[in-house]
Amino acid sequence: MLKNSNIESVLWDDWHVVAELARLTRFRRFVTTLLGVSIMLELDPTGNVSARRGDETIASVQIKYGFVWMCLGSPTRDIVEFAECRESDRLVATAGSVRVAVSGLRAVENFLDLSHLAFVHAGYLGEEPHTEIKQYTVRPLAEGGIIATGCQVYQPKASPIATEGYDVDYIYAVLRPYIVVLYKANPVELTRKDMIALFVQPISEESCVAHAFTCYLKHGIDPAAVRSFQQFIFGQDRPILENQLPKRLPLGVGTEVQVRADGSSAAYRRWLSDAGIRFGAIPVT
Amino acid sequence: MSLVDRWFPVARSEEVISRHVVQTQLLGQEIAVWRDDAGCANAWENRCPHRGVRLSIGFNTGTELRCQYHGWRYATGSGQCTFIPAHPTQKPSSAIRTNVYGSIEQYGFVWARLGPQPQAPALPTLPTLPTPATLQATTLRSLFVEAPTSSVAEALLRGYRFSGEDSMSDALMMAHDEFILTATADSSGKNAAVTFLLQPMTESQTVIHGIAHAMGPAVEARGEAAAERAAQRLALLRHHNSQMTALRDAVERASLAATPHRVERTTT
Repeated sequence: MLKNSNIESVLWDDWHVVAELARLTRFRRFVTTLLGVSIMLELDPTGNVSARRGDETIASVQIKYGFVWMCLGSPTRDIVEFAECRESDRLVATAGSVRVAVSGLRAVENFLDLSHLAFVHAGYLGEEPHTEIKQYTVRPLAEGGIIATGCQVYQPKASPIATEGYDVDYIYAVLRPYIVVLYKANPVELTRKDMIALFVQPISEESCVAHAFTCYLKHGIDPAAVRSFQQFIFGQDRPILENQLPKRLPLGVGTEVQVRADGSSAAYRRWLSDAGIRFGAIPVT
Repeated sequence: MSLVDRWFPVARSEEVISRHVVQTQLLGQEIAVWRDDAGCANAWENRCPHRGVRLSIGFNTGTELRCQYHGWRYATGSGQCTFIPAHPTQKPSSAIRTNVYGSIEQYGFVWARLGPQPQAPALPTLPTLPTPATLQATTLRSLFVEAPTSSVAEALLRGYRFSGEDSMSDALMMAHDEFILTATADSSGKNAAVTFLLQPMTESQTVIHGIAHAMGPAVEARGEAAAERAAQRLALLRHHNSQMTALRDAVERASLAATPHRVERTTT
């Protein structure tokens, strides 16, 4: 357990992804940063991962979902749990880690955002003139976080195996300040949902690594296609995110315009503010 | 007068081309400069009021600027939001608008002023340039310098030279104020002159804009005379460009030596 350097406990004492496991190789240290703390990861011959900062060993390291997770403080709760991952007909895969020069909170908000799909991901996750965002419902989750249900978007190519456009039902949930997940209707089994999560690793207040995690139903899908599709999509978001000013997420009401379509963003910011999140945010003054 | 109430050149008119958005900075504030199809230039804070995305990566439709993130559109002149694609049947609230700065085009530049605009804005008072506008003026290539504006002004005053051109002896430099300087080729003041306009981008970054005033009033030339004039113009541009480049290199070296911590930044 490392000494807290003024970072709020809700982040310091929680689990964060610090690397995709496949990125680690034996005999070679992996250096990264979490919440401003420089850390070094090592993979030993038995497959265990150890972590340290300088000479201090970081005890709380776990491997889950193909990622290395770490808690810098003393964990007060476990890593988020996804029941879908235990279903045998799913392809559970990491889908790439992208460094972005913006607060991780901006990256989470972008992941939640419906109305950018027709512009930033035109031809894939949305398309003009289908830009209207219909009313959806946002409510708080009992265990913290928010959930947006009843989200509907017309998508020309909703998944790596989609062949035609259709209205897609979405559910979004922010589970932790830096963890967001979406569920969208599978193009083959319309009653079941594919799941995509974004585990955002806060590097500094103004930079992050977005680790993508997918849990698709297997129908004709292959891991390489999933990876390349997610990386292509995220490659479209990245230049937008890196052109946001300021780089940190402003939490004060009225600092950035909110319209009805931004209901999930407004709820996310409010929840962050109530939870006392400062790292990566511009708190309400 | 506070600097925010002063007019500064922020872009050369000829670089603010049709259907394009120019990104620049004034006194630490990022600005998006764009021209509508009627020819009017806008200078706006370079961020969409919705999610803060730089408007300079957006799309100039000729009458509106469209944000790249969610397709929100803002009208030329007022900056009023005209369309929110997520709610296509609703008229955007009149409160949704970009932060519009005062802008005017004169002397071959778009000028901007960051301060609040008066209710009934009078014609802005731009600095009076020393040479009558009836003389032929050529806009020089603007040069970015990684140094504070005061250092650039000082270097211009101390070290700008006309030498190298046949009729031009060393310049007579005159500072009108801390941002406008004129170099005259000889002491009679009747010959060629260059007016330098300094744009303070940030506390440590400056753009030098320049206007070269040729001798004699502008008269249309044809045939060989026109070709000769074009060659003279090119020689003039090349000459001042090389002078300004040398000046920039010297100022940046001196500025770097004065603040050694910046060495680190340039090597990363």
